Amino acid sequence: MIILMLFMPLRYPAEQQSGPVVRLLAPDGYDMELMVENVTNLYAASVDLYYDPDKVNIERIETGDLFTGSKSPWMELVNNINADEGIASFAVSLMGDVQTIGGTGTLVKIYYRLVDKRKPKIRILDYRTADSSGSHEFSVVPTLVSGDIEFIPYRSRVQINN
Amino acid sequence: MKRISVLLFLFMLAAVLFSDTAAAENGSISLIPQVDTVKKGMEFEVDIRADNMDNLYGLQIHLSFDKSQLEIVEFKPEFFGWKEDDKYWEYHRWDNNSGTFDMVFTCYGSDLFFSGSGKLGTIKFRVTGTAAQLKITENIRYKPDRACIGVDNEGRLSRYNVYQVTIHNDNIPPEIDNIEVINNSTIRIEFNEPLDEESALDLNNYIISPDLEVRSVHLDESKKNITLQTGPQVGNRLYELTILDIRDLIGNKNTVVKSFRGAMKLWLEAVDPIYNRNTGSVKLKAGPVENMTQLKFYIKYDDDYLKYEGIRFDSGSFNPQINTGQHPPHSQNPLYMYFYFMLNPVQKPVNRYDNWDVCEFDFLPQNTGSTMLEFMTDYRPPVADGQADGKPVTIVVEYSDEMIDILPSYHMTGFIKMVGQNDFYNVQAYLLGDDMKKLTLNVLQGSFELNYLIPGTYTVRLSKPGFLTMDYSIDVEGDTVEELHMIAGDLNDNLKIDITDIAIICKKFSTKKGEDGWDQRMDYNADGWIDIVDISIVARNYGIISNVTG
Repeated sequence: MIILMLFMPLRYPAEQQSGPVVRLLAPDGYDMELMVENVTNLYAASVDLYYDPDKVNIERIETGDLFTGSKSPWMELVNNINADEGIASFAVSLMGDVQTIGGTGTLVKIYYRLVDKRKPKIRILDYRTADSSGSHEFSVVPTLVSGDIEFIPYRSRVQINN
Repeated sequence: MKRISVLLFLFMLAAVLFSDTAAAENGSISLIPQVDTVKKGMEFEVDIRADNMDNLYGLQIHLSFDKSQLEIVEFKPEFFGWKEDDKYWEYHRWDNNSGTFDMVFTCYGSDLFFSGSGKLGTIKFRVTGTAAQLKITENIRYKPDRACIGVDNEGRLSRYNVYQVTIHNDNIPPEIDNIEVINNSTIRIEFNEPLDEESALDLNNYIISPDLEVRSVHLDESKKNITLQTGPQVGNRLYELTILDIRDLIGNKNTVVKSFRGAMKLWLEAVDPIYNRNTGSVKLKAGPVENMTQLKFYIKYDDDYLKYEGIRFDSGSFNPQINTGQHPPHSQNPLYMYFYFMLNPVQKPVNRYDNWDVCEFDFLPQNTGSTMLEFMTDYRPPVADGQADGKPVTIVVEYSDEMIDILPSYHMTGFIKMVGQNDFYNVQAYLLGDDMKKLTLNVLQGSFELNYLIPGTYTVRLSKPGFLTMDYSIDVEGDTVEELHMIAGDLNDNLKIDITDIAIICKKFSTKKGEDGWDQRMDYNADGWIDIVDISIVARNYGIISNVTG
């Protein structure tokens, strides 16, 4: 069964509908991959996670092949999991005035475990409005930055396979 | 035996009545009333006392009183306290129609006579008239030299002086001589004679209208003056005092009515705690008042502690004249400064029915300590003028001074801290408040100073290119030194450190000073190279959002 949740598209202009798509894949219902499809001019990216530590335990976050496979130098600059507050932060960036990234690939891999066996409601939130306050079961906030140091708008999808 | 005694008495009586008297001896007879003052209808007693008797064996006294004013009710003989079975005999009579009293006694036998002083008896009178003075004297109408004579145990006669007595007959009820308004809650009532304590101290006997509570009453030692504590009076309001059933000492009763005008109240009151070198405000407050037309007062202050800065008042209602000067005038070393404040209501007389603010003075404290802000009294005390029935009147003013406690103010030094560098030239510092006040920085030390701070929480805003603009709250409860740590990494000035800041600095990775694209802001450690150290400084602060709002 596939549950498809759409949050972002209505907020973008029509001409941006053809931009990149951020897709959250949870193929086994547990560990997740954050895919970025059809991106161009990607220079840096961050992923912030807001979650309920009583329901979810984030074990680690790994940089995906979108950066690891890049020929340009890159660096994972932030990789911090704060289980007490239920916040995890990840940031990766190319280094120097180098060729940016284009195409499709995995931005990050998120390894987590359920604490109470009940699957949390997973959402992708808008990077422009999301914050750590409020109630989050499991919210993912991706941010893409271009080589021109501008935010790259995207559409998002959450895909969970059971 | 009794027959012998009677014969002896008659012999002695005849000897006394028909013999010539000897010269006056030292002995005397005094009439001692048991009260000083009486009134009509009242009964009172007068003791007959014999003093300095020498072997007194027999005595006769003839007294006289005004038959239109007094009548005798009773006589009680005592004869020096002798017992009834002692050997003496007495006879007395009175005639209220003629106003006379006669008494005679004699011992019998040879072994009883009296020497010294003692009471012979007590006459009880009733007052029947209203003459102011009632006299009881020796009766000299018939034989002046025999009004009071005695005989000793050897039969020698003596004539004694009788000291007459005058008793005041008071039938006039007490009246109020004067009412003095002492202050806003005290009036003093002066009566023309001492008062009965019970009636004077009965709060229920006092009524003041319109509606003014009488809270307590005090009668002074003379018993002529009453002090009433009242509720707060309305200045210049006409009050009518009624005292019911007030009695004098003898019981004459009266109900008296007298008017007075209420006193107004003035006082000084610090608005808030006053701190050294911080302008503080002191209010001149006043109680209710009616038809006040002018208020004049001088206020003294010690210029070692206070510097007068100005005054605020309702300019729509008042047109004050204010002068400042020294006191004593022209003194080379003035103890006080003072200012004279005359307040003329511009339009109508002032009518206020609650406590109100006349004006508010600003002072700049010059020193820490306590100093008195006070109305001048020796030179010119506060004066309030008013109107009553279209005529000018002076309103009694009660005023109270204010002890001003000037509390210490504090010094605060802020040291700005930044990771990796000490370049403070582009740091902007502001003290937030009603206005933003730019602070002067010591760019060498990265510090700023604030002086004369009152206790409280202060907010300083720091900003510098490449750093997150932040507000820093500093609690000041004493002299304070505070370190303010600036946060590096907000390279696009969006008040947060996010992936764009990381991207911005990463884009400059490995750029050296002097090369194209060099950005001084990003060289956080000031080593002339934007390298991983600078990037890590930004990355470390990833996710921090400024607390600056608006």
